[in-house]
Amino acid sequence: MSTTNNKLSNPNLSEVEQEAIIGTFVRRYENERLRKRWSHKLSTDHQVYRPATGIPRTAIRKIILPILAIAASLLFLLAFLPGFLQTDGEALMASYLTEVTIDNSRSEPKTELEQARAQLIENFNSGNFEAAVSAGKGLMLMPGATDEDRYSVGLTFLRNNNTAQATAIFRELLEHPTDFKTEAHYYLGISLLVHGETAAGLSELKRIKETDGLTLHAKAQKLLEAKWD
Amino acid sequence: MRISEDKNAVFLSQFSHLLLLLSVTESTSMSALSLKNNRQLSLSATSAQEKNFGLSEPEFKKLLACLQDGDQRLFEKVFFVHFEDCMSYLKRKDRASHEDAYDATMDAYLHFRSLLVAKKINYGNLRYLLTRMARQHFQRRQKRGQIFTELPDFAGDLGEEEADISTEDYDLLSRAFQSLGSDCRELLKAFYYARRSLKEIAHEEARGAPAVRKQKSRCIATLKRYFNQLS
Repeated sequence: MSTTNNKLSNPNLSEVEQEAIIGTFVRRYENERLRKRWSHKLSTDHQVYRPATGIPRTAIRKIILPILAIAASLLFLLAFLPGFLQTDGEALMASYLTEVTIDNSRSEPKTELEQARAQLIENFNSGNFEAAVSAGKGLMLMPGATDEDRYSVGLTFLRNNNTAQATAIFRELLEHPTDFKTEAHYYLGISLLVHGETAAGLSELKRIKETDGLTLHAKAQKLLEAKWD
Repeated sequence: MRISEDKNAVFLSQFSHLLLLLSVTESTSMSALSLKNNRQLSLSATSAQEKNFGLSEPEFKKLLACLQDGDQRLFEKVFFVHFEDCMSYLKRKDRASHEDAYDATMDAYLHFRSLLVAKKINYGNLRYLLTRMARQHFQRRQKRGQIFTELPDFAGDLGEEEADISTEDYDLLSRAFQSLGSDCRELLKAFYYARRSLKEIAHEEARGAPAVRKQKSRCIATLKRYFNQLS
């Protein structure tokens, strides 16, 4: 790799070096132009914007950060109470379960499918799991429903204590190659544990390897090491 | 939509490296597989299209031809629909922020386009390849260390030396480039960016290749002169 500093002015610059510099420059220059064009097209034709369109930063500072701080403090206290979380599998599982949120970073819903999706997320994140389940059932019937939708609906059933339905959805997800394989194994394990099928649930969690994702693997390991009645 | 369940997915193995490299260097088209009957063929074709953003192989070839002609519209039509999915994937797998996911996806799209133009990508599993590239670009932006360095590096895929141009020199070159006549700009763009050979350019313009070669030399000399004047 060479640098252009003082080189392009050098009369002894070799043909190869000159080609590399000019070629690199033209590609970078045209890519920057294309980047601008694409940014414009993505925002106008697809409503995809670079700036975050979610909650304003001020709102995050004022509302969410204090909540997170309180939650973190509570978790810290709980984690250091001797023998509480580390030994009680059910408590650990419950705490993991309450952490689950479905985040919607997509643009304004337009189609029926997107509206059903948005309805599910809104209800889920506001804790109205029954309504989320209802929206999820409708979503599942739509032809354009994706694996991500199925995964979200599975989570919704799980949070609404419909563990049998959750189990069925996560198992269905695992029947074909999917981006959600690790998550499906993890939440299938959780669903089975909540349903009282401890051995089967722990068996699912054992399938998660470190290379599948550090965080889920760490959680699965903690659940495996916990005490279960 | 993305699931914000906390995770930091790192699941690349030697096998995924191999798959990725195969996608870049060798065509692994479904049609190359031995199929027993028409139904299987139909299913395989569908599967292949799903892996390739709905493109059939002839459509893919048409896309390449358009890009080589400097026409980005078909590329934009096919791939922009998936831009947000790619961002969601980064957010979910790597916990990327919205901005970081956007930037990495944009980088990957630009890089992907370059590889297509350079005929370094074959029809096979474009979706997988593009997603992996986005993760790699995210890694580069984050510089998160060893875990992600296992991702195959696409930097050398174009098989040419890339010069390290300082910001100051880039700005000067940009000004010098803008001062060139449109003929020179278009010629340099066609040669370096659209990667058309001088012979191809000459053929399209009904000129001789030596004349185009001389014009390119003159354009570069003028660019250098402008650059030196601005320095």
